[in-house]
Amino acid sequence: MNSKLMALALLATALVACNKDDNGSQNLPSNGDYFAVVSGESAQYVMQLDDLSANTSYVISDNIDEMETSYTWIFGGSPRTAIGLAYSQGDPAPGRGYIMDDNGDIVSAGSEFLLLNRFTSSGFYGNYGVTNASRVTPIDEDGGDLSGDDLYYKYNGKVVCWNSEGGVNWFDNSTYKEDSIALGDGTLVPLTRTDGVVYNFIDLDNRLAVADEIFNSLGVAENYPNCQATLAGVADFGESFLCGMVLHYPRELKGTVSGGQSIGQIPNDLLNSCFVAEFTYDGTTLTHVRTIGTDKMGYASGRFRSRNYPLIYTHEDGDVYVFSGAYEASSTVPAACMRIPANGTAFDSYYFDIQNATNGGKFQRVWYAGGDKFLALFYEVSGDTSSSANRFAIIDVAAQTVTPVSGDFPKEYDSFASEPMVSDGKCYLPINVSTEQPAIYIIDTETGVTTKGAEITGAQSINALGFMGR
Amino acid sequence: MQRIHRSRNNYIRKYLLLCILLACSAGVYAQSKIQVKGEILDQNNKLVAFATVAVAEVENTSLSILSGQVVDENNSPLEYATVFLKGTQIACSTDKYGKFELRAREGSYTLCVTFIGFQPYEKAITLNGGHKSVNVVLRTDNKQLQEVTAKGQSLVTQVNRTSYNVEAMDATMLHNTTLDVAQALDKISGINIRTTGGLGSDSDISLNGFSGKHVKIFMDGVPMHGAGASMDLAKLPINMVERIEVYKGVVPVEFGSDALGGVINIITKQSKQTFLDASYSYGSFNTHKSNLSFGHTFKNGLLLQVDAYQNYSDNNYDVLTKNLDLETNVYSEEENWYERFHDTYHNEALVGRLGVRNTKWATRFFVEATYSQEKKDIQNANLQQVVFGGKETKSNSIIPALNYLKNDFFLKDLNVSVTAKLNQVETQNIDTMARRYNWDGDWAEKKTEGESEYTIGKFSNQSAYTVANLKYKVSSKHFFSVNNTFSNFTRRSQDDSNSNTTAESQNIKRVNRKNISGLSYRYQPSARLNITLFGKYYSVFVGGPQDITGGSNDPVYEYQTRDFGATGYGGAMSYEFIKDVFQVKTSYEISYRLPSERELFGDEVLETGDQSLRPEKSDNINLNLVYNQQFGEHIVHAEAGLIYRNTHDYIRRVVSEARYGGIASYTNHGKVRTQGIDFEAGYDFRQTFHLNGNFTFLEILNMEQYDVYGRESIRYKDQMPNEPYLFGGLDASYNFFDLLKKEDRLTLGYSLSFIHDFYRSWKSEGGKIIIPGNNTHDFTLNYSMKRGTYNIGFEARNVFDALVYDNFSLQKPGRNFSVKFRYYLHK
Repeated sequence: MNSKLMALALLATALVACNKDDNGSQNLPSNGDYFAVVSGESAQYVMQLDDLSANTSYVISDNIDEMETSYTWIFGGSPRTAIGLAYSQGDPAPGRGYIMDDNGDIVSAGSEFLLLNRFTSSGFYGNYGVTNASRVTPIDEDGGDLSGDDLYYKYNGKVVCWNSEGGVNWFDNSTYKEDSIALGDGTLVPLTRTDGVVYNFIDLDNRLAVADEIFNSLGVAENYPNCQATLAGVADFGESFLCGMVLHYPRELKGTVSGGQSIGQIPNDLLNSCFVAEFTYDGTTLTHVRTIGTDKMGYASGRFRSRNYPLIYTHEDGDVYVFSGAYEASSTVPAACMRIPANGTAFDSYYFDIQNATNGGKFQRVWYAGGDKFLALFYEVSGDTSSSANRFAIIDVAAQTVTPVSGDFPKEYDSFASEPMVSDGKCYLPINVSTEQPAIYIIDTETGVTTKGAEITGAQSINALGFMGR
Repeated sequence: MQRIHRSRNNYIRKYLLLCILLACSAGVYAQSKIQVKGEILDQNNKLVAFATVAVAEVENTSLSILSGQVVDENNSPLEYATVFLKGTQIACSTDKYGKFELRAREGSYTLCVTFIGFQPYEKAITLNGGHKSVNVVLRTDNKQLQEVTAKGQSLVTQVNRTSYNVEAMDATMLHNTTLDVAQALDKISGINIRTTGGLGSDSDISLNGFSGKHVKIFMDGVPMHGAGASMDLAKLPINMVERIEVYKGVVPVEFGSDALGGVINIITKQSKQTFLDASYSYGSFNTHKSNLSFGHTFKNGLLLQVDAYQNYSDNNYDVLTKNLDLETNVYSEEENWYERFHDTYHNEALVGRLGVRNTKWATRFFVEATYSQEKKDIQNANLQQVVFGGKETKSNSIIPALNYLKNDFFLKDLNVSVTAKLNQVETQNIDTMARRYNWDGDWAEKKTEGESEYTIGKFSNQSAYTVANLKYKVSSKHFFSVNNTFSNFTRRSQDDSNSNTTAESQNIKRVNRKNISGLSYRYQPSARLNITLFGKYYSVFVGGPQDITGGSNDPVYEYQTRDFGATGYGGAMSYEFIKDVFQVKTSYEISYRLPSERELFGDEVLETGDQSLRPEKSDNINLNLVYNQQFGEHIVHAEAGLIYRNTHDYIRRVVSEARYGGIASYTNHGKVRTQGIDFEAGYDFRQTFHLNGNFTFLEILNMEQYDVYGRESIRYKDQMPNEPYLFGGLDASYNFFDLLKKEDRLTLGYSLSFIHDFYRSWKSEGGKIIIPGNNTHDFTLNYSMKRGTYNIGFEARNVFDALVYDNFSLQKPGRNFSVKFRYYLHK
């Protein structure tokens, strides 16, 4: 009997050893113009969808690709490309791109690429995918890296040195000067700068090749030489691109500033000002062209904890619309929208007082929704930026109206995709509602009336949706 | 107020439980006393260890008592030797001091003592109605070598024969190999070890489908968590280890731990004899391993033991991967072979132990200190194609410990032991280079420091453990044991180097304190039947930074604390239907895994904790059938284990975009049912041929019908992903004796390990990524001279150069060779 059992075990071993599953050949269930990324319970998948209208249902298992990591997706360029960016706090991961081929299938846009640096916001500039991140690295006065060097920071009115071995030295007030510190032997050491903004450029015309550039933002606004910038957003401006900025003093070490963990103190006289930086990139050099400012509204960036959300978008006619959600409680100018006309070098006279038009409403996030329409996310309590941001509305910048979403738009939801998709004059936003399968909601941007469109069964959420058609 | 109230309530519950258990036990004890009296046996019978089967022989006539001690040639007591009077039913086994006691009518007998691995002992004796004492010295049977002890009533067998679903491995059999403890564990059914690369890489144990924090590891009965640096299973040399015990699912109270999946206990070598074990091995990828163990007990009872070991490897094995073009930062389409170039690992450890044995105040007392350090280059990210050239991590740890054991503490057969251990570990992660590397080893500059994220951050972890055990043998049938394990874990970070991405709350300490008390009662009415009942009380205190604004735009962190408890219980039973041949074991436990400080408080950056989390809970049932039989010179062994685990309240991470802008939180969600079979079978012919095979099949199904958002889940009843479910191995060896000289031995060995493909994520979701299964074949040749004093071994592992992955994209070494020299002396 024992020998039988043992034979059985050996047989099982042999069978198992010989049985190799087919290594997951990919089949494409259907063609379609839409590219969606959905979250399963432990992975993300790419799906190709052809019909987003109501009463359409897809199943997550009809996906065309499983991804090794989670990505932030941006859509743009020519041909329309979906770029997956991966570089969170942690290890970098290979990025990837998808395009639609001549057969209408969504296929890989080329090889995977390595995003060189961390990013906090992203967008398109011509056929470049662009990311930026502020306050990334300690640099010296000339903007050079301080790799492995001793770093000197201000901390509670003292100077602290993080030496390259990870040790800490403290210096008391007597040796601390404006921007530098005198060491015991009399050497004057500049305080470490942290104003570098790093860019990654992904070249769609060159197999998604990646290059990086750094911009030292200290003094980016002419009259504020001691202020640096935290950037948010990338808006294509034809020959150049524009980024919204929050100007602030260099951040001291953690625990010393109020008003958020991530940026330094904002000077009082800048709370009512908005600055936008204009850059060009020619494939080898990043050039800061100019800084465009206004004092009719506050800075163009939504805030949530350490995050900065972009509030700057390119209209289909080439103008760039810049919003300010009036996040700062001590700011005296209202939440508003202004415009930098195509080829312009300054804000024009366009001004829309959104706060006034909504009886005091302030907003955290804005996305372009096609035509003259923008989708905005307002705070729940009118004018209170410490309340939850959960009220969606359509801003019409031409008619200067704000229309809350209505119809099927869910009043309570768990999450929504990182940005809406605009197609055929409609705005599509995937929303995840408890007890319902995640679905794509179709917003009529004229009326705000929303209908529930296609749903994806089995998905935890729909993370991204993009139009890939030609 | 409320918190304090709850805490007190917990204490009341805890003591109520203990009182109830004690009361029940007292009742059972009282009953058993009556039975004992009825059976004539007097209280002196307590002396005899476990099995006394002479009861039926004894009547109220004049009885002689025959007692004594069985020792080996080194005067070390032999436990579990069989002592019997030839031609009668009068027999017993020796206790852990080698002592025995028999009763018989007056007359002449032949006293026989047998123990596998030793020559049988026979002596004619005459009993005259009084008390006779005999001391027996057993001589090693030269023909019977090390392997045989595993089949005898060694400690290994003793552990295997308890009522629990436990498997013990005799590590001494592997002392001539270059295996580390993790690789040795991989040979046990139900266990699968997953590593991320070569020597020094991270490893994770999967035990019957449970892994990570659901399986707890102990060393000599003390939790190993937080010991850091070199005290990791994959870095610990097998020569330091006497045996390894694996408790699957149901865990005895001696191990105070919140584990859903089970417990692994590493028993280090602690010989009373003088011994010296020195070994060195050299192998592929410039791998050097050495180990020196020395132990001596002086005449005055002073005991000294020193263990030192070292591992070094360049880990420069070849991997198949895509390469980065440093000009364009685009990866190649095709995969090619590249040699790993930044994966050097080394660690060093020194353990010193000084103590005494058999004094008036202590059966054993020792103090111990361990110093260890390690340095590891980090070659790639968790996707192999992302390669690094400068990232590294280093750590060092200092671990003082003391252990006290007293047998017959105030009362006869009341044994007390206390162990205290303090782990202090400092770890530093270094990532400062403003470079990107490719697999050719070339690099180009990038604009920011840090190949992934700049850090020179140091973390210091401190964990302290005290383990107290009290065992009392009331009579030969009733045994009590009480255990209390207290642990305290604190962590501080000093990673201010990257002030842009770390939150200010990171400097707030995290504390996790656990106290687990257990009481168990064992009833052993005969040598064949064994019943154990036990109860455990878990209490936890956690402290950490909590966002007191509840997730607002401007979080404010404060150090906050929480405490709570849980009560678990279980039982185990074994019965030998045919003595020494066929045994059935069954056990049940309701076990818990308590939420960690991270789950309760979050990570303060993108995770928010949930203070109302319940412990994860599992009903664990085992049924084992054990068969063992000797047919002349042939020994067969087979064991089938059926397991059932019903796990609820899994703690899962959920991302909630709307409430917190993409901040994750934890929730109790999920039910998983595991049904599986472990099967193991072995055959031995004399000491010449050995064959052993095992395989494990696990059906680990998601039984949660709804997802975290309350929708019908398509994953319902799907196999849980990223968890090996079908695997096994085969070991065979053949010995040639006295080949060149007498007492020499040549061993040829072969082993196969196989694992079936498994999905990285859910099959029901249409998962596309499969972690490929593999078969690896290892061959070994070992030559031992002078009965194991001098040994030389050659090993060829993964001979057919299979591509081996335990985790997605992380390739393990291919074919490799090594040679090991070992000198082993013991007196």
